[in-house]
Amino acid sequence: MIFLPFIISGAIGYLLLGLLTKKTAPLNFALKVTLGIGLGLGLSSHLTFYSFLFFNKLEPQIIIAAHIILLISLIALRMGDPKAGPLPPAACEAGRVPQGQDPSLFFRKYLIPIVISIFAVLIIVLVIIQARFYPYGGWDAWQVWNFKAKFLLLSGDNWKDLFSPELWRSSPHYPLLLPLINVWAWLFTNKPLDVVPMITSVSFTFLTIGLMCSALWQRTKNIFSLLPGFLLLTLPFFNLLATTQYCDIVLSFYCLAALVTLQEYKLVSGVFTGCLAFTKPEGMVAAMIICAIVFILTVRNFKDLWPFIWGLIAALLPAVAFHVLCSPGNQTFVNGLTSALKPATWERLQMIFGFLSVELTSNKWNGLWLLLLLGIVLGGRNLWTKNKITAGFLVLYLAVIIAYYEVNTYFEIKWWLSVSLNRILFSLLPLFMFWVFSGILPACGKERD
Amino acid sequence: MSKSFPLPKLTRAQVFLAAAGALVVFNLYTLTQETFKTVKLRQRHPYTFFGDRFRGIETFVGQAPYLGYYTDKNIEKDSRAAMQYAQAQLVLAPSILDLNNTGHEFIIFDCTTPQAAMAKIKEIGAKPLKANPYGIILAQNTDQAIGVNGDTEKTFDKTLPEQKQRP
Repeated sequence: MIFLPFIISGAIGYLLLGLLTKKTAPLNFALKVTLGIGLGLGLSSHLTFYSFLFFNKLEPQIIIAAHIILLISLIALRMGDPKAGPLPPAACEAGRVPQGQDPSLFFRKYLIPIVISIFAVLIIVLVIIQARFYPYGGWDAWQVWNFKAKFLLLSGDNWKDLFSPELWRSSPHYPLLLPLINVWAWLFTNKPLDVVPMITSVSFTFLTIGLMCSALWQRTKNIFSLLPGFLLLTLPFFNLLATTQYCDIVLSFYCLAALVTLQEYKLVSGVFTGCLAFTKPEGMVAAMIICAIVFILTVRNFKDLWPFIWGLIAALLPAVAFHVLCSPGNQTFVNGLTSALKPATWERLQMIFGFLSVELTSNKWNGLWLLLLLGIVLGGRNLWTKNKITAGFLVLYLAVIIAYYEVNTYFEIKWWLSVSLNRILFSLLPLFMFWVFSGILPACGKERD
Repeated sequence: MSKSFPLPKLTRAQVFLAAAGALVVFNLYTLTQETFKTVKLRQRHPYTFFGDRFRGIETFVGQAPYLGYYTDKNIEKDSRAAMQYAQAQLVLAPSILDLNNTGHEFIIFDCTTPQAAMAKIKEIGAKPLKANPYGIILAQNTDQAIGVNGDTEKTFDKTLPEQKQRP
């Protein structure tokens, strides 16, 4: 019963994605599954939010009915489509390791998948064990995300008390995508079981890694597309942050999803950008940067912009409604540019850059950022030309984050950086990996120094 | 004299992938080490969730939208006290714990000593309802109690710390 809501959301998302990408280039199966489940969970969160908006409380029967109607409709649409089979032939083609008449067929067909599967199972088990070490997650899990979910589930008509000033420590201005996914899952257990947020965070961990690897495969058709996944899942610090039940891994997923689909699947990218804006305030910033990039890219051909805009409008409504109708605004903001009491100083900026360099070389990352730096050096122009969207996004996003640290002087900077910078870097890590590996992998076996 | 060994020519991608592969092996080693270390740690010191100390309070306060949460600890500097408050908030949701506001009908006292809590309860004229072995005391403001929770006398815990000390 615990997994049923995840299965329903996943099925809805998978079928809906098939519908949205009907007229575009086929996605490989793994990419379709990861994007589909993420899309479905985002949609479930949105439907749950609409229950609060329209009925002023949680209406479990209506939410479940909406899901069932949607699922049945999508199944009917799929069955009515003569072209849609269990797996589109093109998708099978895209997901196949090129074999031809290779004498090492056995090696490629059986040995590599078996070794990779054993390795993957071992890592998955280790990740789940790690998640169980902290059954209630980290600090923000109980103070912000899980608290909000439980409050929304049990508060009835008083759900708007969640935005009362007494709860400023729980960041009432933070959007509700993650808490509402947990609320949706709790509808099937009738009580707020602690295991559900853990399942959500572990699911998003694997979804993010799966998305990164399958998007790389879609682009490069290179078996080493799996390598960044193993790199992240074996990194203890990554696992720790991914399974703390925070929203950073959710943000990471939707950010990656919005960007990897941006070139060829604009409608889907628009939907994921809308979901991204509903994750965290940083998600809203990231969504705005993605919109800016899309506008710049389509400025010469405005017709290309429309699919993105339709997707964005459909998925952005909850985020807009939240900010207009619910959010009390950021209560932890002091504009350092105008404040005489807490001004933004040159020392503060130096501290930010100093802390950033210390963080990137910290032992807890096991040298991963240095490896990425090596990749950026070795990747050369490829990274900046073939994958300029991701590169542009990363540069702009980091610039905005640094500017925000400088301008918002509410918090003492050293403490603030120590509790938040590693999580910001963590949420960007899958995208960074995708960027570097997609720049390096196509050159594999072709380019010589 | 010296014989040069034929070094394989590596592409940039191969150099990078070799470094990445080495890091996966190193990561896997550290992950396994950390996992075993934490398993051993958990065997010696099981995971403690401070919020568990507040379980059961909801049966006394019902659906009260707000509860006072009084503490004499400095929650801004004492991270353990802050953690306890945050976890209490999670356990008692959807009731909102109003920090150091003793004006609500029900107030939870999380003080350094039970005596300090009882002194504050006396000072504000509240009535203690329940105490637990962790020093958490639930009290009710008497001026708001009438007609709200008629059965509070039944739930009064006879093992309140102050009563234990009486001769």
